Amino acid sequence: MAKNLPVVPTAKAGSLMETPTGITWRLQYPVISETCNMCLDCTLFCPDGAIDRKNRKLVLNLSLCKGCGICANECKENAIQMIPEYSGVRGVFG
Amino acid sequence: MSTILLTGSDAAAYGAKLARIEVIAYYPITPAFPAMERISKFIDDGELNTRFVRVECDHSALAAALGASLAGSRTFTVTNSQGLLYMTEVVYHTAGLRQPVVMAVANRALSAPHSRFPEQGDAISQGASGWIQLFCENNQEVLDNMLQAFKIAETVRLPVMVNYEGYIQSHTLEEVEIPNQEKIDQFLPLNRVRTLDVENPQGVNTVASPEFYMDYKFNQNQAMEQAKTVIKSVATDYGKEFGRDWSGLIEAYQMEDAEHVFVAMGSMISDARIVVDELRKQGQKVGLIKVRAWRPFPAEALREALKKVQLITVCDKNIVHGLGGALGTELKAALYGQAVRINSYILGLGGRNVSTEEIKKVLELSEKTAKQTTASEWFGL
Repeated sequence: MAKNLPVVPTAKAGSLMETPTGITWRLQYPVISETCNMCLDCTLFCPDGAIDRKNRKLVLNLSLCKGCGICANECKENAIQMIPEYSGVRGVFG
Repeated sequence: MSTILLTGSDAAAYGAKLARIEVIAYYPITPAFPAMERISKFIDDGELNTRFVRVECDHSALAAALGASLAGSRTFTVTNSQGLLYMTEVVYHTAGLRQPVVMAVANRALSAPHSRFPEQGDAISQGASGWIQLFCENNQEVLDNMLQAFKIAETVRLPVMVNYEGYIQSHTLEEVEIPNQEKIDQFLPLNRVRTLDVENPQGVNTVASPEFYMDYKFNQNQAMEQAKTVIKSVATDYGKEFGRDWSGLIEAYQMEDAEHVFVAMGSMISDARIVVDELRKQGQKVGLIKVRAWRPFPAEALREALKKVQLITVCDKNIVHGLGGALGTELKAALYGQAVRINSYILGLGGRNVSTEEIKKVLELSEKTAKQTTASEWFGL
């Protein structure tokens, strides 16, 4: 069954501003494990500034992350894992 | 109601006028331009209340038409060959955005080498675009299909191309009956749907993630499937009202006991009718299938109409390089599993003449060919 969508592909004006890079685009998101040694390489490589340091811990801003996986690729400790967004065939929006 | 001499281009323009188009966006190209000239004269003479948008290229022409359609107006444009290719990006936009734009296409060969002569390759190049495509056999059908095109488009919310061949139809005079305007107004009430609305701003053609894109495409294709029924019922309604039923997706002519059938679309059909009548008089069991709607492809209707025949000769005025003729290839796919020999021929490219003589010869050649032809058999080299 196809989803119930408007006939003309449209969305409320300004909807892209509400989710700047948009979780609607993202196929996977990073999860940082405790083996992180706080080298901060990922914060330098992240093209969207989605990873920040707060109180000696890394914090993700998922409204900025587009799920490219560069952070996980660059992490020397293999402390970042990319986890799929979808939870079944219909996905998170089903 | 009156009968006058009209070229195919004029017939398209009269169709647009009777449909009371509200916006035309156009960029001049040969052989499509006389339709635009006639419409601008209608506007200048005060016979047609239409906004004429002058643009700098064909891409902009369809883009302007698309915008006007999104704003809710009944919109028309006309082009051919290179212009249609230049429009291609917006051709897909218009279908994906489900806008009932009607476009007349005076089919002309594609460059390179450069050619200004008739051929159906331009329309065939847009076969995957999501536009309904009707092919007309004469100028009367151009006018009638124009009116049916708006009805079909506004019912299923898909754009429609009305194809007629450059020069053979666009510049040739034929008797055309002009229907009564009041009766057309009843047949074709404006079914206005506004997408652009200042009170309720919408982002149009927004990004669709993998979560949504496929579902949009599924719905669009469903509309194409629905069009198969709508094209047929609109043709029947039009026939009842105006006395000319162009018979839906395909038309079967002299098919009752036919053993050998000629299949084609466009201007070849009117010649083929003469050939079939002649051969029938000589006692040959020959029939004709006219493919009126190429998109949506009438696979089911063709299977049904051709289930009892022994030999099919299918002719294409186009070449899909590396594959063959578009109609021949698709017909073979549609009839897969049916016991019938299908000989397909590519002919008449870039204006090479196809008259009754050529059609007779190709039918004779096909009879004599023992083994089924490949997809790319050329006739008349």
